[in-house]
Amino acid sequence: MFTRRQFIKGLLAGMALSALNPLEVLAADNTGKPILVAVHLTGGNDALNTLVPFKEAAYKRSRPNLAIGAKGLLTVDKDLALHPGLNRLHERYQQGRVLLIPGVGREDHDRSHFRSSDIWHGAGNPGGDGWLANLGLRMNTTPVSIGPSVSRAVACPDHPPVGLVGEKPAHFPAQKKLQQVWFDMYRNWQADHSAGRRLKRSAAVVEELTTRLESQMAGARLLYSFSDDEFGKRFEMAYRLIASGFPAQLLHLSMGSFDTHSDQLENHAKQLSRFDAAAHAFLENLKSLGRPTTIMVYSEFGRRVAENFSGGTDHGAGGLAWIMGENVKGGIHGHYQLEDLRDGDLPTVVNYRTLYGKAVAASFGEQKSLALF
Amino acid sequence: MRETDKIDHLLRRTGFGATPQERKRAHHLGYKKTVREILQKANDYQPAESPPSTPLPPIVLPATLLSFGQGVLWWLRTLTNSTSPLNERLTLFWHRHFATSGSKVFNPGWMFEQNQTFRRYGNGAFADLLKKMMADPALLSWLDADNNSAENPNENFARELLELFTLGIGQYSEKDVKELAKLTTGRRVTRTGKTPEDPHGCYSGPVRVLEKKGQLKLLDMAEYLAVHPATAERTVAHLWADLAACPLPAAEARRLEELWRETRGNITLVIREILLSKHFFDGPRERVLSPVEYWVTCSRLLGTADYKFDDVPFLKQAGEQLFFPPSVKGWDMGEALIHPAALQTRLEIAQRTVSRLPESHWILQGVGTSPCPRRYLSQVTGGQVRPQTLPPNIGDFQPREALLLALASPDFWTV
Repeated sequence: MFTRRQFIKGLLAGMALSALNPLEVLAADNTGKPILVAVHLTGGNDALNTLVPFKEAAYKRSRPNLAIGAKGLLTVDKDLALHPGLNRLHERYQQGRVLLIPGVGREDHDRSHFRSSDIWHGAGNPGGDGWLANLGLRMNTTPVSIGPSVSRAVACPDHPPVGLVGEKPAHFPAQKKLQQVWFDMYRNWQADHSAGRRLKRSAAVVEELTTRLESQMAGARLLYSFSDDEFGKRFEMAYRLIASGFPAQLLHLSMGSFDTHSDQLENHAKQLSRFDAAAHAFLENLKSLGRPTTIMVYSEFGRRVAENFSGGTDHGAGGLAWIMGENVKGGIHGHYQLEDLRDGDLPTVVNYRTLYGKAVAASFGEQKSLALF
Repeated sequence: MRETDKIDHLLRRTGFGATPQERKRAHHLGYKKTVREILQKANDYQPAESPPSTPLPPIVLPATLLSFGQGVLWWLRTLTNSTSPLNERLTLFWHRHFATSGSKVFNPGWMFEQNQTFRRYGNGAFADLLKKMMADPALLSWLDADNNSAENPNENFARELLELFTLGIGQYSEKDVKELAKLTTGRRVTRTGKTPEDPHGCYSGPVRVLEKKGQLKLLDMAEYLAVHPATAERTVAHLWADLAACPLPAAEARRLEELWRETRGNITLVIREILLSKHFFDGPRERVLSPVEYWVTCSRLLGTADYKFDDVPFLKQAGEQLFFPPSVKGWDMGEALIHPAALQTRLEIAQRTVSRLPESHWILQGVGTSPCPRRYLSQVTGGQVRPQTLPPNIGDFQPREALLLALASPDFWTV
């Protein structure tokens, strides 16, 4: 009887190996290696109400109903403060483990969710490899995407991108027996064409992910529990995957939505504190595994400086990102340029590729970062 | 290849699976007559159900989303219940070709109208379809040609017209884009979806695009571009990939391109030649079904069209959100459709389909509660699933379980 690992190695035999072949990575041993988790807050997170320039007259003037008053804000320096819902992030900031990057974005900003995300994820290479796929290629690891759909950030033309969509890998409700039969069907199937071989490889990855995650889910209790919302679920799946010994070093999570066109005050506060709790539980649980982890949080764009008439804000440009983790040198890099708007939007003062460079450097060292960004 | 196998191949490639009734009828007619019937039906086809009407103008976002949701359900049902699967296949083909996203379109109704245009003109001359698209409110809005002035022409529409709708990249210069952009000025899209020309915003001087120069009109350019050799080559290759999904021999390609140019890109005639080509049967079974094609195939084979509102957001997760292509390039097709997460979502599609089957399905099929007869599986899947693919003890499973395994089997990924 073959073990799964032998099975995967067997599949690999005779195949031209390339670093991004997910099966090869599944057979690799990466225990103890550092992890970078990129978190996409989808829909365009409002930078100005996340890291608030509470003293700026222009901020208060543009947002008569939406400006957040000084009360309850979590101060980071004399001019800026974090949203009251981000108290765990604030604690980490005070410990010097969070780098805040206001004014991050692209000089050629685009207000379409899709086009902007596409450029961020392809790192300026439309239609080509995603930036995490590219990084994975250099680091000999396959990035894994967790979210409502497979992110372009992990896409590459030569291999099936590895992604977990929905809440479970392969979902056969309460029918363990049927699940194994399904996997066996793909294992025993004779593929006589290249699409078929790709299908077999993908099925082997699903089986591997499912088996690992299921035994993990059934196993050890968590030190910090995850909430039952989208944020908690995504971070929990990422944690379980790492805890199961899955060798991925690059993860991409997407969660949202932050597209706050209306009733922003309430919705935005809710989303931020959900994110804060989930990210906190993730990092705390990971401590016990001894895997140094860096989280990079970003959004495809920030929102307009001026509020709209529905108690919300529309798509804008210059946004906010942050990097957090034990190896991060905390502080603030960048600024909001509120006195010199571009078409009603914050100008970009830090290019998104600089953000990638800093995140990669914090996770894997300067050398890896210099080669890419 | 036996004649009946060829016919099954023909039915799967021009439709969504081959139901027992369709196979029986086609086996009786023979290959050539079946080709003729398929093309005839596509020409005569009118969908039974009209697209949903949308409030005009949709002021609030939820109403817009609701309209799009209704539109997706309408399209899924139309795909499934169609009396001409080929016509619906072509509607999908053109939606991928003129990939318009509702995200920038003021009224969802314009997207449904465009869909009906594909149904009506999608099997006639490409030149006529292309001209219709030059005044399509959804496409104009999507590519910023709804408010394009002569003083500062927006190049978006002109660029995609050359790059994606006709010639293909590398067949024109940046100067051609700039010149063509002048001809796309002066169109407006009114709130009711009319696209009148505005003489004031319209560029009226001479232009020079490729080999054409002088006082040109956008429609003249469309006619010229539609029959251009590069358009013929590119679109014939796309049709061949969609239907034959095997390498296109050079001589065959030249023959089809010549036919294209002589007939202003007559889609029905080109498809007829593809289906009658001996190379149509070449190569392995490598036409990968898209998530929607897969779902509709499952539904058609089982005689159901029970789609629910919850399926609309699920299509996004499955990677094929109808009316919202990821970009103007459309969706990545072929092998790109195969990846681990896609296995998850197809399994979910199979589960949704099987779990919604009414009890009457099993009674009508003469299948009891246990165990599942192999004969039923082979019949209901239209010969799509080979016996050796299924587990040897498939007969021991409950009918619903066995059917789920068959639909979620590797044989159902490609046709």
